[in-house]
Amino acid sequence: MPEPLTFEAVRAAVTGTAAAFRCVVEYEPAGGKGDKVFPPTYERGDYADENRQIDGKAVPCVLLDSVQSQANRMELALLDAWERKKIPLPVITVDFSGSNLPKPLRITSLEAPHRIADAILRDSLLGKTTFRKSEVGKKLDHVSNREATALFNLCPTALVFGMWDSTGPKGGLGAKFARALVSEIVGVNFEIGRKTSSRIDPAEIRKGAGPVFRDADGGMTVFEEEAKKIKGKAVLYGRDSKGKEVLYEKGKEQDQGSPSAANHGNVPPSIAKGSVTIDKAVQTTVLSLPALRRLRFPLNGQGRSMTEVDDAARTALAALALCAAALNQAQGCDLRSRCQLHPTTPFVWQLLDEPGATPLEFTLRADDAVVLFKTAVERAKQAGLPWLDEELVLIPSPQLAELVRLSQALAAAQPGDSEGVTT
Amino acid sequence: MFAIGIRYLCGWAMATHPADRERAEWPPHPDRVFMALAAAHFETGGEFVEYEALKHLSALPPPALDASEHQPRRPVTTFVPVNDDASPLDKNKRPMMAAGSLPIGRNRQPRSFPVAVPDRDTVYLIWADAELPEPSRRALAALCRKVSAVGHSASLVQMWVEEHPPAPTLRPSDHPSAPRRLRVTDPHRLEALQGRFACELRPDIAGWQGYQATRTSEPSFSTTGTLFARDLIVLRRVEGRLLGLESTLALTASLRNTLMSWLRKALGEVAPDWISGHDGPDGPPSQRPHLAFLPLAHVGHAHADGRLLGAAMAVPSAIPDAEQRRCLSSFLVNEKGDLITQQLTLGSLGVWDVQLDDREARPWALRPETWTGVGTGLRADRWASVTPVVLDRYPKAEGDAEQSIRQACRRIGLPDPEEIITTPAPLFVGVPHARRFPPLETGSKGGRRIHTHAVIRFAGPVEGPILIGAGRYRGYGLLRPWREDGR
Repeated sequence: MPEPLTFEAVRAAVTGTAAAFRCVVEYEPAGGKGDKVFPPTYERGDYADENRQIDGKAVPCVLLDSVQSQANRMELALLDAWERKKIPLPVITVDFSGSNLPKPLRITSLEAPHRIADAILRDSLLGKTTFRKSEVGKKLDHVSNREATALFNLCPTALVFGMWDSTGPKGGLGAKFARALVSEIVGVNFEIGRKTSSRIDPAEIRKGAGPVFRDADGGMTVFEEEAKKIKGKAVLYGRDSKGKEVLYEKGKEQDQGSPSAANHGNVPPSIAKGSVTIDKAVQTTVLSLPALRRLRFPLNGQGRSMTEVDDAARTALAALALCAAALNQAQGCDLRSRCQLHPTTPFVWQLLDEPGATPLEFTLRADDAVVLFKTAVERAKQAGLPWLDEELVLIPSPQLAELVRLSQALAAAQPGDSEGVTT
Repeated sequence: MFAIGIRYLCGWAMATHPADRERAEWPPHPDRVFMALAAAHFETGGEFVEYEALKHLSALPPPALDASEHQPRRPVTTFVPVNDDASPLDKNKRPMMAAGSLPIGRNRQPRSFPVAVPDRDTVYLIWADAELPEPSRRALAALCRKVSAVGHSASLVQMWVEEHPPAPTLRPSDHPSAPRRLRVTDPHRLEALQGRFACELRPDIAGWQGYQATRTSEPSFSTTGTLFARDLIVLRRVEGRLLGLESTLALTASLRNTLMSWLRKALGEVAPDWISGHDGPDGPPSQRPHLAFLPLAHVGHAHADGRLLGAAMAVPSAIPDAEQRRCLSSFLVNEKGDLITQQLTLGSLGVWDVQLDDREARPWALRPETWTGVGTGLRADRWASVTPVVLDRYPKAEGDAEQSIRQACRRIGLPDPEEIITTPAPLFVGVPHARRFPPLETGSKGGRRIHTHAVIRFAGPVEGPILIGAGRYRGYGLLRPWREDGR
């Protein structure tokens, strides 16, 4: 019967010889067994499938959520908990609110793809200084496995999910931290189904109602005289495949003038290969303890670290990883449109220690994971480790702000790339 | 004796094969495991006794492995966000789509992360005859526990020193037909890695060692073989135009000629009789069995088109291993164990580049088992021709062709067939009609021989490779286990 996981158990695991915490959870589609789900598609519409040996048979399996995608979700779960003030966490935010953007924007170190080493933070300012040249940012220049204190202070998720400071002062030889936490979801015994697309226009606009033109403000008009003109010819609403404007030529068949270019009209039904049915989905999450034990945390500029400080930091990182996984599990498994999964087995964590021995088992609910994590952070602080309690706010450089502003303006002016179809 | 155990905690291994960026490496090569141990030592500032243990380990002979088969995940391209440019606009100043957790666009570059899903998640590297001094053994055990990943950082493992490993499935082999090749260490590997690291360079590729699957038991006496060894030396086409089975003679002739000139250049001697097929350098054709060259074509599957995927060399079992290695190894691999690409000139058919095939996952046509019937689970008592059987003499009377084929089977050591059916029509999907194959020309008078397809049924299962008839050393008369549905 699994016991609830305690802080002491995590600490014992981290300071001992165990290899990993591992949690394997089974899911079924939210719509019930046998319902369709949509895996992520890759180039050419491929799914990432493989055959696995299960009970002596080759069973076709398909990737439902990749390692990178699960890591993103776990970081967003942490961000959500921090925003609700449920957990203490160092967060660095780039705040675009003073930059006159059409859409308000804040990007945190938990959302930036390369975390604290991301180019967005690099191109931002703390006060008047570029972030990496500020007192705070300079601490990152010398981090390594043996000197991870600054990262613990400013971005402990980088020590859990990995980081490569590839554009810092050392360029490609910049600090590299391997991830400690890996999670993935795979659908078992899948079969490819079919998906349909179609649209019925409630206004019943027909193709012959066109041509539709683009006016000077980028809006739509059916009146040729209101259209934007180039060399005396009216510009059609739709663009060609290269995104360029097309001029109206009477009598010529031009799709760019069809009402469908402005998302009106019916879309005839089509059937394509897509979606899968699965027997079940399996999420495997592994936290590597040797990866955490590799890190050392000297204090106050000393060359060597102290064992009790290292233990406290590593325990806090383990607690952070377990908390991220538990919060992600608690948020439910809504992976993408039409791919929602519901757990059918409990969240049980195994502690893998001696090879071949039966592992200890623990339960960990999200609320308990939060308490465990907060305890670990307190102990780490008591051991002398620094921890950024207040949100650190940066402002984007004017160049970055301008690029984002331009990007938002252009995106709003473009026609949507979906045709408003229902699938 | 000792072993290192590696358990892949996520159930898969993410590591790129050094010879092919799109391919996952499985099983983990001993050198990759060594590099993971070395990294764990240096990154944790380990003690000198660990360093000594690593040095000792790298100097040991290549280990045997216990590793199951695997299935590769379908290779897909992942688009990974760059970090040199935060701009959400592409080079044409158009906004890029937001994806992942980032709320604005970012330039993304294609990357691949090949994954191998093994049938069993645990692998052992086994040194059956080696011993480690006790301090080194303890240090190695401690070092193993420090390793978090083998391959990509997401490829999490648990590693330990195992006192009682299972029997190996792969053993090192220097035989030229060794179908698998893995990178292994040498006594200077550790210093070489340190040297490259100090110069801020990535590790170079270590030397290669051939490996052979361990035979689970000796071939049972009830399965008769032929005078050819079952270990075919498989060469795959790396470059060159697509050719069909009709080009068999051109391909095998070119392979033979290329091998013979290689031997002249590399060994400085005329090819021995068992390769040239002649008694002496200018002698008449030999009566003794010699090296045979055969085409490897994609046949027998629903959409097979008979295209040639490569060629193989079948060595008579009577030729000693040492002699085979002496003559053939240097044609296939260099001193470091890297594969050599041989160029075969095929006249108007162009040029083919070929290389020893050492891939674990390869098309059926390039697997020796397809042509020997060993280990496929098929009861290989019925065989049919892929290239036509050349008859010894013109069949004048009814039954002459069958008689000729019967003798041809006996000549290569097969038991008397129970039933022989000759037909010009092909028996496998993808094989051309017999008349589409150019005739074998022999004899100084330029006589042409008659050939025909055939199906042969033996009393019990037999083991290949089966090459019969007058063209057997040049690729004609190649048979394959046959089922009635043509597969």
